[in-house]
Amino acid sequence: MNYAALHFRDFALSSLLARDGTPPDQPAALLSSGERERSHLIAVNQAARQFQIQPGFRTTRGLARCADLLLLDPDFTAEKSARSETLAFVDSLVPDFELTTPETYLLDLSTLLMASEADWINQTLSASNYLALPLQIGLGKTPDLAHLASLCPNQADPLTLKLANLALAKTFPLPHAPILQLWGLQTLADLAALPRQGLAERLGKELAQLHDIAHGKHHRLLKLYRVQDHYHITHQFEPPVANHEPLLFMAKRLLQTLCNRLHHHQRAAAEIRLTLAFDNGAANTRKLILSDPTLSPDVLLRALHTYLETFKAPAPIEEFHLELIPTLPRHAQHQLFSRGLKDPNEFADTLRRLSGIVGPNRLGIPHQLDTHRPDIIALSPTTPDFKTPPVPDIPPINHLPLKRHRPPIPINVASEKRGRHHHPLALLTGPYQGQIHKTRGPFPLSGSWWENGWQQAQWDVELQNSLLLQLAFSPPKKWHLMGIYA
Amino acid sequence: MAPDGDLRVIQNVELLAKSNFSFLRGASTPEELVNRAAKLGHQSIALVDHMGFYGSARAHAEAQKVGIKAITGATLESVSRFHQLTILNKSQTGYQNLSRLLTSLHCQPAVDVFTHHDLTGTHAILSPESLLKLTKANLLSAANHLLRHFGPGNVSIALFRHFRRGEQRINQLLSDLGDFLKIPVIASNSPTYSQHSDRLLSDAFTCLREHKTLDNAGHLLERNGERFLKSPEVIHNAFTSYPRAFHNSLALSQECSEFSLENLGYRFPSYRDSDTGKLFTNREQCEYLRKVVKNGFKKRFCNFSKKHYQQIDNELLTIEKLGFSGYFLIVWDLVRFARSQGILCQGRGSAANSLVCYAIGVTSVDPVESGLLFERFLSENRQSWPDIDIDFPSGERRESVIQYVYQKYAPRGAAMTANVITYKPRSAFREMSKILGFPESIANRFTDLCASPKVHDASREPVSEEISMSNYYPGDKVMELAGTIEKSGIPPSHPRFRPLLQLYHAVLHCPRHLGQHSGGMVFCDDGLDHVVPLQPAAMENRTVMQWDKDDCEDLGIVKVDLLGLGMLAAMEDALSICERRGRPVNLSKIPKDDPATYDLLCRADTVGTFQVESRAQMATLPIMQPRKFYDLAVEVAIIRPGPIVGDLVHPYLNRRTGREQIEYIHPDFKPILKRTLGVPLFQEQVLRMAMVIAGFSGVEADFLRKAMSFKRSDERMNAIVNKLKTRMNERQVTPEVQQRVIESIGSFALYGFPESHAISFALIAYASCWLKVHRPAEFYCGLINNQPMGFYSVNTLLQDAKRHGIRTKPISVIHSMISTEVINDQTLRLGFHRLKGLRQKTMERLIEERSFFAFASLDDFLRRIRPNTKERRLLAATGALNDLYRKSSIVEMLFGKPSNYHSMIFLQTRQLRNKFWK
Repeated sequence: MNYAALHFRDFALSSLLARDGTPPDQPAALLSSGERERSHLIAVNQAARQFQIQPGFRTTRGLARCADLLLLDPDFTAEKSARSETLAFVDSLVPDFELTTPETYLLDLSTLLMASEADWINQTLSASNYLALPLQIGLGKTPDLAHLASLCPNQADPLTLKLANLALAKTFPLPHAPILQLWGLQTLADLAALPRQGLAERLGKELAQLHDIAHGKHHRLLKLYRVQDHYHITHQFEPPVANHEPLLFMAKRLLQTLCNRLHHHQRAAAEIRLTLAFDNGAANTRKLILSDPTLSPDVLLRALHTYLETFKAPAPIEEFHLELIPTLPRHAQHQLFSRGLKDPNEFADTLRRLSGIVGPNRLGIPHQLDTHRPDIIALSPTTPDFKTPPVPDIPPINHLPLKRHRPPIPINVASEKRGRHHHPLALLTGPYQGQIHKTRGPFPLSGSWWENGWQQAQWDVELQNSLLLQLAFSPPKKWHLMGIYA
Repeated sequence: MAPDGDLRVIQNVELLAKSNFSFLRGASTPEELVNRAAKLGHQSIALVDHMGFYGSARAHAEAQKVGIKAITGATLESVSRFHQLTILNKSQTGYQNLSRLLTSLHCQPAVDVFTHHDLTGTHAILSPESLLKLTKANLLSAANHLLRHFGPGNVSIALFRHFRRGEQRINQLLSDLGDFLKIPVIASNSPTYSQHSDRLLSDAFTCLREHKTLDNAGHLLERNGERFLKSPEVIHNAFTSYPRAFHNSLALSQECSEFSLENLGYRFPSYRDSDTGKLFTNREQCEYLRKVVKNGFKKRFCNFSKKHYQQIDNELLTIEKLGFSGYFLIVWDLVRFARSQGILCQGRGSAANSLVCYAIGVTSVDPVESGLLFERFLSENRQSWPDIDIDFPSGERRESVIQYVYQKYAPRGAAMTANVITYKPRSAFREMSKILGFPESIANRFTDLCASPKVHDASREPVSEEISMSNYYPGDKVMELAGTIEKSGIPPSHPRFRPLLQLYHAVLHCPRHLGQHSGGMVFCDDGLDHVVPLQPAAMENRTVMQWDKDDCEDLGIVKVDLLGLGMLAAMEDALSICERRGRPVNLSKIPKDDPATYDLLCRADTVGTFQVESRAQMATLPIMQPRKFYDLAVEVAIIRPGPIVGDLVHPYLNRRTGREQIEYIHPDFKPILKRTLGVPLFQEQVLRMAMVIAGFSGVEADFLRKAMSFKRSDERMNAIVNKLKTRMNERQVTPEVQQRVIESIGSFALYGFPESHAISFALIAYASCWLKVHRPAEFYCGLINNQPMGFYSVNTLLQDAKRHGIRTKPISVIHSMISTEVINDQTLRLGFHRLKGLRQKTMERLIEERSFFAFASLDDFLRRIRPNTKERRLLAATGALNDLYRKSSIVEMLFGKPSNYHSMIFLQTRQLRNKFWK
């Protein structure tokens, strides 16, 4: 079957019941607007139908049949909210679908790989549980057959559909229903058994068309519904969650939705941006750059999983916002253009795990920055091709090897100001203490005055015990032991 | 050892200072460096700008003021094996040799300069920056190379102390080299800025030079801010290990101080006979000038008065006494050459005060008749050279005169004076925002917002004297500029907002590059390149000197201004058309009292004329009602920024129309201000007022004149105004009169206009008005052919022509020439030059092909001219092809119309459209 139809029965009423968390065995009906006494029922649920209550009944008649009947006024806000949820749900299933009626979606399954149709139906039904809306699924080789199938409960054959119900549904043109009833036709199968030509001659082409639909001869194109071009989803947890399992569970489903959207626009995800909002008002945003653009929800989920495994939340998570940054999918044959790694995402995942162990911003390829500031190393991200950043051509300024303290050790130094510079006299604290025997310097350095300016004056000093040290003075009065000359 | 804090006890010099005239290599002006050096107690300072003497003249002038010596020198880059080599001048010969060497480096960079140039009198300094690799072998080889070319005793080795690691090792290496080769070592800090805080601008310039931003400049930037001008004590303390270096610096500075720019060795060229090439002696020049004046006098005057005779005799005596005969002959020669080539020219400025200039044809105003004073132009009390500015038609004609001068004094005997292009608000913001990493769109927005470049003028802001990192961003410099920057897209909270402001203020008015003056030329008999280095100008076949006109004036270098005037070109064109049409006009003989011309002026019908065509002039003319030539001169002078600022327009007009009583600021001013109804309008009047009311001598009055015309700074003006006040106080002049006199001078300082200049301009204005009245077709044709010029667009001019009964025919490939032509007295035909996008060679081919035989059809035109698609469209869109189309129709009508005539026309139209719009 190429097509599926999802039919949310009594959608307007069901959305209200779902909003209020009403149990499904509670008889309920949706009232028309106006005075309660004069109003009538415009929709009833399955439980109400058990009491032979039908849409169109007066309210009083409905109440006469079931005193426990829950009467609800229409609420368009709840309906709208439920519709956006159902849209998101359908969008997570397939990229191409049609919003046929407010209650029915027609899905194109041709691009979907599934083990079996029954499995798919079961999975979809279980996935829709969170919507708390009654759902009927129908499959068909044409869109209209699928639609007819969805109108039948329990995946029955669409031809078993009663013509009276079809006329009530008003989704297909059935102009001469009373005549058909007079002819003794009860189901769609009865109609399909009649000769098409005679039917068309007698009752018009609309019934001939319905005849074609029933025989699977009428095929039409879906009027595809396009969701907005954004690739982000926000989900709120009620109540807030304290561990990452529920978060991953939700993320898996939402990633599928986002991947479908990306796939629909011929894009792939290059980066995941995850924002977590905590119960205490704090928030945390993390960018997870993917080594290789992907459309696989599993790969994306793995990246998230790796990150969340090592992430320690300061408070229960109240909301999470997931965004995929789109890029063009990469099409390259493995090792044809010197691709270094077979699975760059696997590599990235490993790096992420490492980063989780050593801490954020502590993993990468170290390189010296092009600045006069001494010992400034930056980490550039590790890429799958292992490209090292260009190394600035810095001439050596010291011929003696220096064993550096990283970070430099703050020390107290007795000093004397001569001219513009503080001259060190003795080291008072730190690993090497004592009176300074000889000095060389100062070697003032300064830079980045246009942004976070820095300045220091370096000194090479010799202690009484012949130790050669490098000191740095930073205004107003900080001294650091930079290292010891070997 | 000097006691601490007493800077004046230790004597020292700085021999390797670079100013911002090193263009992107120094961050302080020569004046700042010299002032700071004097303040710190340096005896002398050597300015060694990059590849030239650009800032030397200014440093010399400033050094004279503050009483220290300014040594001249230059830093050569990429010469021989040296990355940078500093050379100082020890004598006039050395200066001249270095100047020639620099000229060669600029004009013929491939020449092996050390081998082909005399280096006598120069002194080379090998510094740590001289070589890219400071190895022992390299240094030894380089030092020997210098010794070989400069000779022993003319080479030094400089030691730097910038507090860098490894510096001591290099200094020791250089010191050892000095000991080994017996070369003295000198101590220097090689400053590139005067104060520590200027390091910001220095870094910014480095980025601009290397095309980097501050973020990615890295090691190209200075590692610290130690390259500022340091006090003798600090230098002394820094070089305690090399005491001889300190003393050697002093000794070398004393050697170099023997020469100063006062002894440039410049001499104005003597007159050279054009036929024989013989150089005239002074006596011969005097005799020849008398002869030329006598001949000119005869031509100018049929009957001259005794006053004329006395005046010319006086002037010639003064000229001979001052030795300026050659100068007048050279100017006469230029004018004679121009006239021989049929080029209109006229002297302007104070030269109009001279009867000699009138006689030899340089000016066209009879100063005796106009009551102009010769002393304003030249007097025995004044030692400065007279100033003669000559207007030529702009464009190729003026260029031919300039090239004549270049050829006459070739090689390297003439050059244009420089024009120092400085950072203006927009360029300052653009460049500084670029190096700070802001996108170009922000600079574009700032440029759009800055309607007037004067808005952010920060020249009068106080300069912070503090030298500390904390004072990098003084808050008082954040002015209204901040709002504009914010509107441009950088919020004040941006971390780079304040650095941007700081850099903007620092770079504003700094020299950016050297341009050429619009017309100032300097020439010399025996090579100008020994006076000042020359370098190629952007224009082909032109050289430009490294000093601007003010520097030249300060150093006594005589320049002649060969200025371009668009109106002269238009008038020349009009006159040649008149001549071609058999109605020649001699401008010198047109009547000066033509009522029709004055009527035109009175009704302000002056669109397209010279000087009196602006809206302000046109608004004033009906009030002014000029009926004689002097009225026109006043009219030219009255609508100027000076008198407008001084609120002097209305008093003059009110007095002229009788609405206000004539009164003089002081009774003594009556003889001076009588001609201008008691309102000081001319510079001469202001000078004479100063002489009368404050007892200024001729020299002082001349200083006042210079101050009024000196636009570089207000310093001179303030000094002379203070002097004026003191003198007036001494003479017990009432404060009210004092105030009015000072106000008059103040407004003139902004835009002084001498009477002689006004009269010279009024002559051209009158001639243009006369042409408009009597030869309108030729006049408009000349104007259209010399656009762009003046206030109005061609369309406005054509509308004005239409109002005067002159029709303009459109461009036609059958009839038009390249330039606009006069068909008859009432009709013009626009030329192809008005078509933007039609190539010159297409125009020429069109005229040439048409001269052989006319175009028979559109196909014939396309086949022979081969215009490209763009040109086809242009010609079709402007209707230039209409005549071709009409012609073929007429031919068909004449030689038989086909029966399906309308179909044919339709087909032809479609064919035409298809050909041009495909």
